Amino acid sequence: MSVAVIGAGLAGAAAALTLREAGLEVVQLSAGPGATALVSGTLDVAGASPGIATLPWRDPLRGHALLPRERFALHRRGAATHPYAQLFGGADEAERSEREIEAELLRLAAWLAPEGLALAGSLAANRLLPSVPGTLRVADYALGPVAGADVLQAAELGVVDLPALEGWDARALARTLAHELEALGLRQLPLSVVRPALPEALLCERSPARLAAALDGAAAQAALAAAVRGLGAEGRVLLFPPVLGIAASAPLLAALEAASGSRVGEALAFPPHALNGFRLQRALDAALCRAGVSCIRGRVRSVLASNPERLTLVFAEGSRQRIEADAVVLATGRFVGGGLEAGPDAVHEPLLSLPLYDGDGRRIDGIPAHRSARKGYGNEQPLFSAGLRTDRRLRPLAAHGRPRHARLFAAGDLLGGFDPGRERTGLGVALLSGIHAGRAAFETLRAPQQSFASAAGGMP
Amino acid sequence: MRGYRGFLREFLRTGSLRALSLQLRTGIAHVGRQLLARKRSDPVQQFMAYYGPDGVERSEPSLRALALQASACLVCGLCSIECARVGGTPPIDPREAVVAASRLEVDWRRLGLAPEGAACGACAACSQVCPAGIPIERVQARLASLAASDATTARIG
Repeated sequence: MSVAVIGAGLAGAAAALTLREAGLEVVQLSAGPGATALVSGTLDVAGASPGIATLPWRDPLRGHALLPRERFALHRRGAATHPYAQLFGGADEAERSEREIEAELLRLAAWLAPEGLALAGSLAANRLLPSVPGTLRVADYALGPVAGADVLQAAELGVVDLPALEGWDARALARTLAHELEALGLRQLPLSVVRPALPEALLCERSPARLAAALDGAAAQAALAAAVRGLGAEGRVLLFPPVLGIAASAPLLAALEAASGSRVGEALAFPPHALNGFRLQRALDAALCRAGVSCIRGRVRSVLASNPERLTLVFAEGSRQRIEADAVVLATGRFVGGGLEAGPDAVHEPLLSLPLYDGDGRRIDGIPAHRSARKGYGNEQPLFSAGLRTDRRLRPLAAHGRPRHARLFAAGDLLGGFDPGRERTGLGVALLSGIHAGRAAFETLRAPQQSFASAAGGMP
Repeated sequence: MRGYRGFLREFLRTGSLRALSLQLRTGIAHVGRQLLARKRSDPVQQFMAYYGPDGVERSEPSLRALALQASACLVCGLCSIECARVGGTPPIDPREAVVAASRLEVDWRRLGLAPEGAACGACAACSQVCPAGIPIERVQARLASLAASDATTARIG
């Protein structure tokens, strides 16, 4: 039994690893790195839930004050088409689904750990993490390098000044951060700008990527640890730009915390220097390799679904290169990932021409993208919630309302009904729907009496 | 006439005749050339008859294709991080190279690239992580060869 997973982001990786751990042969196909490689480092599972009237997401103070648990519960009840409502929508499932989410985040942490990338957080508390420009982002889970910079747990914040570094301005960051804290009604943190006494080669590096690569080396790590020795204080958090090593960030973070006596964290960063997204993508790729998933690089052009038992993946138009699979998980993402295409004429799903729906529930495949756009800055754009509709086993629905194919599943951003940019929860949906789609595919392929739990050795 | 008033304002403010020369070229020289030039059936030849005297040149199709590929850049920066990770030593940062290449014309002084700048090792690690599938090492090689042939600005495609 073999399953093909299309897509290299978190949703595809979660589906592939879930299926592989259950003992199936898995082939993962990707045209390039997943859009996961562009994320800032937070993994806000509960999300800020726009579109749910009861959740005051426009009011940052009240939105931030809600615990992830409460935000998640509002999510589940609020919007019927949201993937969470599909995954956890059953009555009186709230507590069970919370335990399930925490267990699945532990599985992600276990996949990332061998690459030295930690995952921190819980559904019991929020973190408030500063970004490179100085804005604050709420998150329940976050990757290790950024998790330490939580301003809710800091008595004092020292922003590390590296004057030559492109895109990093410690003073501007501190100023913006002070305004943000004031706007949120939070108590002012004492903010200071600290300059480590680094060797010239590190201090004068202009490119954040090159500085991060240099800090993978032992000598540079030792120099940085020596330079932060006097900068720590009780309760102070040292906020670094995202340069603390590309591959070896965990030992460097530990060394810096030991040397300074403070907690150390990186600011959240966005493209063109989304270092934590890069680390996450690399760790996922390594986890797939270790698990024995065969990863093939190439753009799948179409999926043939006429045989009820098998699906065929076709690479180029008219090419003879094909892959047969007993089941397929689509985790191709949206417009950035390539799962949805907005050509000059129409929005469409390129692999199977599946029907697409926008955030208002209108069918939008076959009509030009600009017709779905709403005028006005700041208006909610239904096109940003565009995607497939699925049944509760995450099988995409065809126009007639029944699953397109019994062995075709979908996960991640390709699922419609939520706007990852507004909710800031794309990775939460990606992880949870990826694992869910993997399980659903496994249970479809196996005989009904063999449940996922017995095959995967007591997994929940 | 509105444009000519703009020229007057610029002339009074800066003392530069650049705006006037542009006005004369677009308003008189181009119109005159379009009226006088022989009509041709090939639209490309027709275009060159109008604008060739201004220094517009035809580009090589392969280089135009490279610039078109480069214009798919998302500016995600993954190439720069991967390049640094594998220890590459490119003359220009790969992201900056792609962004420059998509512009069709490059000013070397702004890129900070010496004309004798060597090409990178062409390990193609950057292209492997590019979500837009741009052959970044070919862009680098092209920029390096242009830099060697022209000291200030050069056409990409």
